[in-house]
Amino acid sequence: MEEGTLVAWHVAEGAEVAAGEQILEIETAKIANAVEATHAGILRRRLAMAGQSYPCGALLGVIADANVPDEQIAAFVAERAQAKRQVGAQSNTPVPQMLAVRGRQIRFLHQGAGGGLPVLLIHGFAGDLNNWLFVQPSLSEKRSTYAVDLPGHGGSSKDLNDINSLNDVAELLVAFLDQLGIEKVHLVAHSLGGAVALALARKYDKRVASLVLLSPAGLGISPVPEFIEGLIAARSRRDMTSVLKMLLAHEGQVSRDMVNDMLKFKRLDGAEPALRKFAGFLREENRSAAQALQDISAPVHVIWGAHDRVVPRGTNELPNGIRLSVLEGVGHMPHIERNSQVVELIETTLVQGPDAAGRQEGAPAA
Amino acid sequence: MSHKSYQRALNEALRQEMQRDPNVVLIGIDIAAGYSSAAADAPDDGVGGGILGATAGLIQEFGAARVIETPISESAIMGMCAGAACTGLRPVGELMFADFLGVCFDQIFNQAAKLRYMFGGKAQVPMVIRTTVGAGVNAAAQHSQMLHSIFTHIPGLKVVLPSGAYDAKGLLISAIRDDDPVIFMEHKGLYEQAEEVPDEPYSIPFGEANLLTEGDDVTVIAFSKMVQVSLAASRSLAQEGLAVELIDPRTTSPLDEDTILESAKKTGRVVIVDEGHPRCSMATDVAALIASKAFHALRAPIELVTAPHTPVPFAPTLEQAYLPNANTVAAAVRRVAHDR
Repeated sequence: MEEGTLVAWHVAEGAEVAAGEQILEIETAKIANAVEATHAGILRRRLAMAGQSYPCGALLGVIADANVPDEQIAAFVAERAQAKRQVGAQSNTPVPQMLAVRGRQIRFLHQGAGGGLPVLLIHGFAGDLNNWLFVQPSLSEKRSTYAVDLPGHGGSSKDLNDINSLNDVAELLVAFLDQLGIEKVHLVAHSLGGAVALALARKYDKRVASLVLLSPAGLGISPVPEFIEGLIAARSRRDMTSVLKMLLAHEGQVSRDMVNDMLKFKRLDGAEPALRKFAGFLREENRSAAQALQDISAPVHVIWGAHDRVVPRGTNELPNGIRLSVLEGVGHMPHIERNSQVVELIETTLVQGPDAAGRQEGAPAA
Repeated sequence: MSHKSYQRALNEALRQEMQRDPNVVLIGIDIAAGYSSAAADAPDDGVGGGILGATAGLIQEFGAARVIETPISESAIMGMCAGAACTGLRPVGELMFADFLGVCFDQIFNQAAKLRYMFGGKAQVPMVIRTTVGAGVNAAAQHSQMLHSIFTHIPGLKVVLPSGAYDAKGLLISAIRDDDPVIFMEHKGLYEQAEEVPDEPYSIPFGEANLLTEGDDVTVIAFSKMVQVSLAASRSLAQEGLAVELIDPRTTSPLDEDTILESAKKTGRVVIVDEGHPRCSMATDVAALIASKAFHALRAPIELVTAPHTPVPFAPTLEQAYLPNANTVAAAVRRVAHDR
């Protein structure tokens, strides 16, 4: 995923926008999605045009306060255009790399640099590193981030020989970190990845600075079998579309490309057996939230969509001291459905540590 | 994942299946062309692999027992494939031009396609016939025909028409793993087509159409290279505000009738684009399917964009006039879109 197409602007040039307000619609290989304003202000420039495609990181528009002079905005736009030209042909889009870890290929995407502790991003069942497309660039502004493909997923080796539990998956990720020379990390993990992150943190408590878990498995709620089994069984576009609709609060956001990408993954030799094996790992995971968290001393922040139909939170209570943010109008994919708010929530954990005073229910939705 | 041509995608599919299954063998004319045992120690310099290049490097890796050169005898190639398939191998026969499959109709129609049926399911014929089809490369009337409809007519054969590099690799792997005879038709005008193709092996199921664009205005069903032509047309039509739903059935036998009918019922306006001749063709077959099973949803007559009922001309200007192109497809889409 290196580009997206602007579908439409929702806001006129010169209009006032609030932070988190949906200002434009883009369509990418993953999803048709609204882009939210990162800051409040006036939409001073609309640079992107509907129907055109733009590379990741392109300047689409400019939001600034009313008192910023026009000349300054023009200078900013010119400076960005200049910077783009200097980068020139050697596109600055980072590309995934492969690393041999314990005899299998692990694909990962490294972005960013800086003084902060690195972040390891762990995707969910049948996902891959591209699931973090909308949040990884922002998280990479202050630190290195590593989005990894779990074994059997994405571009990593599909065979799962010698991997017989979520603990084995966690061990492989630790070996991956060892090989990159990374001692301590923040874990940001989604769904199945949450159960992997919890397994990792339970065994390697000292290596985990914090855990941010999005719609996680492993906290006492299993993914619904209709999704897991449905996804394993679906081989046609029609079947896959109806399964993927379960992921999102707004079903219409499931794009043709999102379905095609999932079918392309499932057609790879070994992908389906790997998914079956992971489904088995998930069935065996039967800890309660309290059991899952009891040996973990790092701060834990759980972010859950209120309309999650894959790992539905229901009335499940988390132990005291665990921060919980529930997002209204969001399904199982908060990092895609509500990306900028999710970045802010993750940042609060990465930068300040969690609110140790207690849990927060129902963070305001954008 | 990397950008690969159709030709390289085919080569990769053959190589990976030969690595996976020692029963996969290649049989054909000049498939190891340019290679001699005297040059066996020389580095792979791109020599060999026949005029299509799809088998390049395979004789070096798998040897002459699995990359089998034959005399110029089409019926011998196909008879050998059918016999080898019945007795446990998975042969991939290559015939450079589909035009010459006529020489071996008995081996294909009466033997390969019928054996499972004649022996009550006790025999199976897991063979693939790779061949090229299509005009546009100035190869004249005897090397340019689009003969998929003839093979689609015969029960017992599966017919595959990859329209791009991604499909070429995944469909060829499926063809080799299939237990029935598969006619795998590669369009000469697509060998240079390139797109993202995974490095790993993967298989695309037969009978599952590809939806290249989604749209509510007009359904376009296209085959082989006409998919790329129609894709270009649909992009220019999008600028005019016409949303085309472009369907590539990928295989004509089996045919994904559900996807075709579902889209025809949604748009009510259909254009079928096929490089084959117009009579008794895939175009007329799909038109009949829609007319009989989605008649009440139709809001305009079905438009067929095909080659004319003539041999393929050799003169370049006439050959271009013979072939459907993005303009003729777009014109047909506009006609059905604006009908009433």
